[in-house]
Amino acid sequence: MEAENESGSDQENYSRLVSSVIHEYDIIDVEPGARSEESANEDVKSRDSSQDDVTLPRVNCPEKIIICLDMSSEMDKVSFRSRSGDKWTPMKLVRRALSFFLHSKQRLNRNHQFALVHLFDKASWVKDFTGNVRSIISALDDMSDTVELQSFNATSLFDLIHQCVPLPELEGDTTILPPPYIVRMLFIYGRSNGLIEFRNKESFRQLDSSPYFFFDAMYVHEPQSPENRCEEIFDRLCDLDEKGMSYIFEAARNPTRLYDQMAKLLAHPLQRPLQSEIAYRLHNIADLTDT
Amino acid sequence: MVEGKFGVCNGITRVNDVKSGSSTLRKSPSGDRFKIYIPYAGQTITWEVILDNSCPEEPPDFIFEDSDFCPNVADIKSLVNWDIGDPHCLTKVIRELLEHYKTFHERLLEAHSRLQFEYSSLLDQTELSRDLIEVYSERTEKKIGPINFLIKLPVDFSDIPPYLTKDNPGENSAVLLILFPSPDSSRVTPQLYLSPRVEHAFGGSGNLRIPAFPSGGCLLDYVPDVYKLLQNKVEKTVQIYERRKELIAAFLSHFGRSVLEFDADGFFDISFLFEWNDFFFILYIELAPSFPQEAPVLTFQSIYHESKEKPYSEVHDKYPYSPRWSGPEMATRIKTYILDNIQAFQKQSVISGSL
Repeated sequence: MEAENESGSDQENYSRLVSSVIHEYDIIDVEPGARSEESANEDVKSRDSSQDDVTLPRVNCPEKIIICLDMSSEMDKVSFRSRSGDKWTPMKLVRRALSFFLHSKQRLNRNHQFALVHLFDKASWVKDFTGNVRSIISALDDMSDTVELQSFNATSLFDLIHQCVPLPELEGDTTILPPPYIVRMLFIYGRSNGLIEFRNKESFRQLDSSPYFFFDAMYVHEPQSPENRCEEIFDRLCDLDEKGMSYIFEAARNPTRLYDQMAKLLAHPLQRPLQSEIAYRLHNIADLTDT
Repeated sequence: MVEGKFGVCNGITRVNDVKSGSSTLRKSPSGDRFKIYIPYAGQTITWEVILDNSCPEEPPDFIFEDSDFCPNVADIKSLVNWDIGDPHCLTKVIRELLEHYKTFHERLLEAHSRLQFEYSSLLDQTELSRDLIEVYSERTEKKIGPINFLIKLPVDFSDIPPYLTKDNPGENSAVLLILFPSPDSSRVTPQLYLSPRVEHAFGGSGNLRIPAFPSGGCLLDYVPDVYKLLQNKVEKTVQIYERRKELIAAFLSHFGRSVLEFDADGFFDISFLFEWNDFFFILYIELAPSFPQEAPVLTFQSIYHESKEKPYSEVHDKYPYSPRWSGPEMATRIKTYILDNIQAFQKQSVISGSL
C-alpha cells in the first residue's frame, strides 16, 4: 500500500528529499497499519540492513546491465497460464518481458548499455555491451536451443563477469561524485530442481565489494511443491544479496506477475528504494484519511 | 617551478621547451632554460626564461616575444630581491612582469584616441576595475591591429546549480573578448566565453546569444548591456532550476517508493511504476527547458501491450495546468489527472496493443 506524507512541513521534506540526491535515501514515514507491498508475500526475504558502509549519490548514471539468461530446457516447458486459457513457456514470456524492459530502459536513459550471457552448465558470453536495443532483441530471437540441465555453476558466471567487466574505480568523494557507470546483473533463472552451486566465491566477493556492482534476479519456476526445490533455490538466490541492495523477484504460473516483476527491475539501483520499501499502488485521494 | 595563475582568465601557464644551457653533460636534471606560455587578453604570449644551473642564486634573464617590451630591471622588485630559496620566486617575477606588460599595452592605446576613450571610459564610468580588463595590440611596422579587449564580467554566479564531475570544473566565470581589427574600425567582433559549470547550467554553449556590437557603438554601452543580459540569464536559470527541483522533490515525496529513475542533475524528468487495480503501468514525466511556462509532459506506457513493435504509450501534454501553482500543488493535481485517466489508458492499451 502506498504511504504518503501529506503533513505540513512540506517544504522541508521536499528539500530534504532532494538533498538526498547526494545523501542516504530518506525513508518516508509510513502510516500506521500500512505495509509495504511485498511484506505479505512469503517469498520476499526480510532485509535487516542496507549497505551502511558506503553512501552513494542518488544519481541516474548510465547502467551496464548484464542479462544472464537460463538456457535450461525447463524454460521451454509450458507452465504459465492466463485465465482465458492461453499458455506460454517461461522463455517466451521472459523474452517478451525483456523486450519491454530494454525499450523502457532505453527510454529512461539512452546511455544505458546491455550485454547478454547464456547460462548452460556454465556461463557463456553471447553479446557484449551495446546501447543498440534491437541487436539484443535479435540475439534473444535468434538464440540457440535450450538444453536439459541440472545444477548451475554460479562460480563460472561470476568468474566470467569478473574477468570481462571492469568496475569503475572509486575516485574523489564517492558520496557525491557519480561513477561513470554502474554494473548490474539481471540473473534470470528457470530451474525448479537444478540447484545453484556456488563453491568458489572469490570472484563474486571481488565484484560485490564494489559499491558500483549490483545483483538482481528473476526466478521463474513451477508452483512450489514438495516435488521440487523451488523454495531452496529461491533462498539460495536471496543469499547472494549480501549487501541488501538487490531486487530478487519470482513468478510462477501467472504471466501478468512475470511482466510486473520484470518492470520493477527497471528501477535504477542508485535511486530506487530497498526492496522491502517498494510500494506501487496508487490510491484515490478521496480514500486517504487526512492526518 | 611556476605554479601560479595569472591574469584575468586565471589562466594556467604551460611550461615547455625545457633545455639546458650548460655546455657540458650533467648527470642530474639540468633544465635551466624554458619557455612559458601565458594566456593574456585572448592571446598566448611566450616568454623564455633563462636561469643558470651553475649559479642558481642569480636571477633569471628573460626573452620576450615582443621586442618593444623592455621593462627596467630595477623596477622589478622580485628580480632585484631574487631569492632562490623562496619556492614562489619565479611566480612573483612573472606576476610583476605581467603587470608591466599590461601597462605597456595600456600605454600603446594612448596614441589612438578612440581606443583610449574606449579603455578609459570603461574604467571610469562602469563598475569594472582595472584588474578585470586586459588589452593587447598586435603591431606590425606599418600599422596597429587587431586590438583585443578581454573583460571579465563580474556576474554573480553563486547560485548556479552544481555540476558534479570528477574533473574540477573550476571557478565560474564569464569573459568577453572584443576584437577591434584596427583603431578606428567599426567592424568590432565580440565573443563570450563561459566557464564549464556556467555553460552546463545554461544548457550548453549555444544557449546564450549576445547581441552584435552596434556600428558606431562603444564599449561603455555595450559591455554593461552584455553584463545585464548575463546576470538576467543567471537569475532566470536559477529560478527555473529551483522550480524543476521543487516539482521533482514533490513527486518524490508522493511517489518515492515507486520511482524508476529521475534526472538528478538538471531535474528534467522522473519516471514511476504504478499499480492500479492490479494493472501496472509506467509513467514518464518530462519537463521542457521552458517549464514552468510549459506544462510537464506525461507519458503513460504499457508493460503488457505493444504497438508497432514498441510498448504501447500515450502522451498527455494538455491538461489542467497553471505555471503559478507550487511544486506540491502541481504534483497533487497531476496525480488526480493520472487517476482520472488510468482506466481509459488501460482500455486503450488492450484495444490498440497486442499481447
